[in-house]
Amino acid sequence: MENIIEINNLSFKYPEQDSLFSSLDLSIAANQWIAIVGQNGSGKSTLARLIDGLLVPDSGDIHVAGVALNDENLLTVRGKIGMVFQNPDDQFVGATVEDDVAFGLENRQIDREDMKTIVENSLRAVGMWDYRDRIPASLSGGQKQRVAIAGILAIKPQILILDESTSMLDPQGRREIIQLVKEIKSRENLTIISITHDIEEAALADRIVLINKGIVVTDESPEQLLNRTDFLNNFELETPFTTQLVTELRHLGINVPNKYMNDEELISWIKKSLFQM
Amino acid sequence: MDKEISFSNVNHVYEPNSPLAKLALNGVNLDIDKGSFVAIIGHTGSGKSTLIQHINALLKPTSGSVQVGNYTITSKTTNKNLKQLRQHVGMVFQFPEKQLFAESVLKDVMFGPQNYGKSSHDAEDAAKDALQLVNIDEELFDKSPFDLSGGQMRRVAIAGVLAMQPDVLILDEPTAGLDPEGHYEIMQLVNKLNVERHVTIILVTHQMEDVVEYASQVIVMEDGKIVSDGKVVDVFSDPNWLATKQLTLPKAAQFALDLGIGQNSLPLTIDDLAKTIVQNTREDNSDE
Repeated sequence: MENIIEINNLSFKYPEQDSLFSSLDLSIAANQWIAIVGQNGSGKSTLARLIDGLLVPDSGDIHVAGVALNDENLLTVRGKIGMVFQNPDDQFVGATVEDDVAFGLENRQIDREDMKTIVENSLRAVGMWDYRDRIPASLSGGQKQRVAIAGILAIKPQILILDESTSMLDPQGRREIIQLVKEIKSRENLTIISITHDIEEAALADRIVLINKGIVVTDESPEQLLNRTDFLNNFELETPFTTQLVTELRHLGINVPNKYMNDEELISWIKKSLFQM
Repeated sequence: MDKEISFSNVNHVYEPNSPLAKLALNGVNLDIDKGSFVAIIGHTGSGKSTLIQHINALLKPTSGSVQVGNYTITSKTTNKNLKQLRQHVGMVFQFPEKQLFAESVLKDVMFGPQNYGKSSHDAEDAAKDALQLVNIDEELFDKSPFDLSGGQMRRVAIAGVLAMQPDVLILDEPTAGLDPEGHYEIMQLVNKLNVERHVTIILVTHQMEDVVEYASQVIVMEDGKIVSDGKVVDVFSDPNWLATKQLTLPKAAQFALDLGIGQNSLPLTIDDLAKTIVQNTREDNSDE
């Protein structure tokens, strides 16, 4: 599979702080969903900002869809990446929902008629077309994040980076956004990079990359990573609900297969093996 | 037990006498005992924030009255003489780190007690005590609060409220936006204040697991009304009713429902869920 992001030998440090990344290598295949997890200060968000050219590495190189990230190509690379940040209130620029989605297109000098069509399609894709005339203050956090995603879809990126985009939302808003990302990923052929503390959200990814102090500690599938309770605890990661339940069932003498199961898988295993339904 | 807070027939109308008038609290009656741990849950816009802002008179009832300790708050209450009430009732708003402002952590936390008339010496003692409670290391005292991590900033902001040594602490989604570790630290702190210092806790939250783990009383709000007020087990005993309030079950209870077990008494924790699963396990595996 073609790698849409290639990071080679990357080094970065913030001024007056210790080095964060030194010779980091990471590649991400096109159309993958990758979750980046790790403690606060581990470098997760910094990595996302480096990929988007918001921060400049001290050395090493980054290629996005085959294009080298440098001053000359910065706008080309940014055009391939859409980023949704943590705080829904920090990224609303338009006076209305519709204006907000049009903003990115205006910056790209898109023809007005085309713009109208793109805005409508993007808002429909996130289920916010009915809200097009609303002002930001009248929307819930989840709705604001939907609008942020619509603004990104409008510029047709290849990569969607979610930087803790659900962490400030209530449980319902969080579910809505995760469901939306699942839908648009396949429909729009997107590569998803999700930086998250929510282990249930990370479990949806094809790969989970665990970063600690600027170093990739592990890079494996959710199935491989998520039943290793001790390992997760060492890095202050939450143990998924199903893994906690399996641990408790083992304490009670039930013999559960030694692999990570998500909700659905565990429910069907319990029904079949324990309830004999 | 002694009552700490009592609402009787409280109505609150936003923008009264205007076309935008909105009845945000509708006939609210409520009793909260001293030293209890109360969770307030409800969908966005159900009136939770309006309710808690009545407890330290940031909002006043349009009609009815609120009793907090020795204070009675009515529509006639003026903003004079509220200092003692506000010292008695500490309020931690959503994202309280947005309110940090001073040049050092210690000065930020000292601001409250000093503003309420303590000498700088006493204010410093109170601030240091509060910072210790929230686990902020002494070597951070002289740092700018803006150089701290998100979780640390949140704890410093909470220390600013604790330095007033309130008897009642109201927290509006205090862990929103924090990582799991930060979440756990804040909830442990709140629980410790309740258990060890007997501070009455009023927690607005969307996290049903926290309700189950910490609260003794749960208040459910909808459209400005209290639609349920009771013990945790009672509130979560009727999933269909909860769904009509757009509220979710704790994960363990939802999992049990999905498995089709425990309908008579839904397990609320993972431990209880595991036991319920074992009780429903068929023992005749060997016969097959």
